[in-house]
Amino acid sequence: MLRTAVFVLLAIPLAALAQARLADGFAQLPAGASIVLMPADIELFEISAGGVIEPRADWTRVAAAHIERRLRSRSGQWKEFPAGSDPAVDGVFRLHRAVADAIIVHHFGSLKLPTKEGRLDWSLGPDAAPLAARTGADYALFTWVRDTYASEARKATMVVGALVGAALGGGVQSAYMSLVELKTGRVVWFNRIRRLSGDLREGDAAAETLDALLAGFPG
Amino acid sequence: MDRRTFLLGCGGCAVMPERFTRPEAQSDEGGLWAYMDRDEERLQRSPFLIRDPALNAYVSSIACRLAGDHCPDLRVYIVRTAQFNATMAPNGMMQVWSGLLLRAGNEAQLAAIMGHEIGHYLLRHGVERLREAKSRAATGQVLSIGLGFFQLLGAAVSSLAQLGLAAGGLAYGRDHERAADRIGIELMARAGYAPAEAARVWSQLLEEAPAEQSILFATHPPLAERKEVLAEAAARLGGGHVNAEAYRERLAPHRGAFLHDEILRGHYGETLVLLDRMPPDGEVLFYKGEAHRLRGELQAAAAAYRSAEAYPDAPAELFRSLGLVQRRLGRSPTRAFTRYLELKPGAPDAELIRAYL
Amino acid sequence: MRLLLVLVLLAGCSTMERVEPGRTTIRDELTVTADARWNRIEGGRDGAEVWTADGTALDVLAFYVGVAEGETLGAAPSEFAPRFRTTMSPHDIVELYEALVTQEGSEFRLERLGPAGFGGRPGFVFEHTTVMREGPALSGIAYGTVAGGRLYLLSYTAPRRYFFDKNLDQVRSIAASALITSRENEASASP
Repeated sequence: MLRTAVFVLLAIPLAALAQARLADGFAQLPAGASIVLMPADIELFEISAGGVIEPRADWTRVAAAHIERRLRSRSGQWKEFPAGSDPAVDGVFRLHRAVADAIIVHHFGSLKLPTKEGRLDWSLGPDAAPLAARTGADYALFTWVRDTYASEARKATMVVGALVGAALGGGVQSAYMSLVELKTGRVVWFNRIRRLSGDLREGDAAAETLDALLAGFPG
Repeated sequence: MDRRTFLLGCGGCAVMPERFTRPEAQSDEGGLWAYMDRDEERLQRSPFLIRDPALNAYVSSIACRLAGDHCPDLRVYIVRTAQFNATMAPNGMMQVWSGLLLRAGNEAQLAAIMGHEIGHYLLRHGVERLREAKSRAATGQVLSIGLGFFQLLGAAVSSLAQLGLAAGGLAYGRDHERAADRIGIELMARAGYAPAEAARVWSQLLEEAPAEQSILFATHPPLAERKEVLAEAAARLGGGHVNAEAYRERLAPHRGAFLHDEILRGHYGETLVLLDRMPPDGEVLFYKGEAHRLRGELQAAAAAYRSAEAYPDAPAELFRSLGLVQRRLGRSPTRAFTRYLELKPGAPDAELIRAYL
Repeated sequence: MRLLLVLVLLAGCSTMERVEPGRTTIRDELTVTADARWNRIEGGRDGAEVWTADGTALDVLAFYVGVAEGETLGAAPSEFAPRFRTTMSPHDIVELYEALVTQEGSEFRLERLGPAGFGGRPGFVFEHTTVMREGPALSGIAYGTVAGGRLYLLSYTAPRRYFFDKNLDQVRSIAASALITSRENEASASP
């Protein structure tokens, strides 16, 4: 419910570029720090001519692979996320999602919290500990992507729509990445993009999108 | 053979389709399948999933019997949700909601609904619906909320409403529902269940909520037609078992929780109709009392609680509720509250109850 | 309730304002003393007064002030949303709250219900755990009283453990400081 609402919020007024943010006092990952790459939450959709949004498995899989490859190519100790379910770890996922929602709405969005005074000041506190215990990592990197692309038929209707003066949505890219310091639970870096352009499906466009998503990554 | 007609008018002589293989990732079906896979992963971690092995084994065995050769492809999940619903996704994931388990009077009635859902699966209605929505939407330029649609394949309660498709969309849904009814009753009969129970589930639902213009009824064929078709099929297919006792036994450990959820819906009239259908015992009579109490019918509530007292399975909360009603009626709640605290000294509201005494 | 809050935020015409630390009056009737951590939603629809420290996706401190006969908690009730009756006991009010939470799809478990003063008069306190379909499990605590036939309720919910514990002392303190100061209650409200 709140999740869907946040997605809708993101989609309504589409603003300009992403803004990377660091928590107070955090500038760079310490040398030798290990990071666990959390399983990314990615869904890529296609919009058909009439506006029906349908999931595209092939694109989603490719995008997930792009993101993982790109991250692992950066220097740093990348830890595997362990297989198998663990309710404690699942709890951390859920909590992180709520923290990310709060950051998106109240830090990047228009409903800023005056008490934060513009700072990126959110933490999962000791509730992040199960993740440290399970992975042995110092940091965790979360990724969330929702992206829609216009099919060729859709693009054709958009052209027609433009000719008759109707505005038809062509596709929205919403994504975030979040770096959590596991010993304190602090969100030390959070980046979010929300824009009309961008393409995670292949080639140079995917690289560009990942550049945008990783802008200011302190590693 | 045309998928849509493969089991019609043949009284059990027709052939099931072959087991499905995973579609290509680039295809629309592949996309839907993979999306539902991820949805299934989320469901597996949900706190609302009922994990009791005994109940799961029971419900899954029914699905298996119904699905025949397709049994290995099905995975049944029991979800704690008070509404009557079951859903089936093209990747083989079936959900049975607790509101349905509460309302099925016996194993055959549960099999009827599950058979209907398996019918949607065998006829690949999920993908058809997506394709139809795309082609219709292209002419009508209707925007859909894609995420909502894919959550509710099967007996889609609110997805069509979310899609905002016009009457054309509902008619297409009805064709699917008719086909699924026909398959479902065949599968039931083959598995040895009494097909007459299929129509009974729907009449029972209608008794509970006769005036309700719920989407469930809007997207399904008119009930009169449905009952007629199912009755005809039942007459043709003959008898079978209902397994009422086994069903009640399996449900018993969970029924109290499901009844609690049911009361919280706030549709007390419907709840009372449902409870009247059940053989009386301590639990049933307690919840009758609750429904009356929450409607402000205090005398009726007190009477129900007192009847419940006679049964060994009467829950301790009965005495708490009786005490609260007696207070409101100006009578002494002491006996009832004292009994409640005796039975449940660690109750969450013990502090307040003691303060009343 | 948390879902109704989303509706408020989505209405698009609200902003977050700082709550000045110290004594504050809510909806002209309830005064409380709070510290400097709170933000409030300004410009929301009629209904609860909502405060938050870290954002409404996390902690929510809601004030339902002077809920009258036949009204529900917060705005935009559904046809089957349970409504407040002046004859309601604390048990009934907990059930009202539970039904609203459940109708959003969440599961509610009462942990504790006991007598407590609130607003300068006898009332009740209840603690609960709420599990939503999506999102983290929540802990909650609420204080309430019925005065002049109207309900005054303070409800705090947050993800359990870290977030809930973070503000719990302050919430208890706010509840202890609360006073109902509407005209008809002025004579009986003690400082």
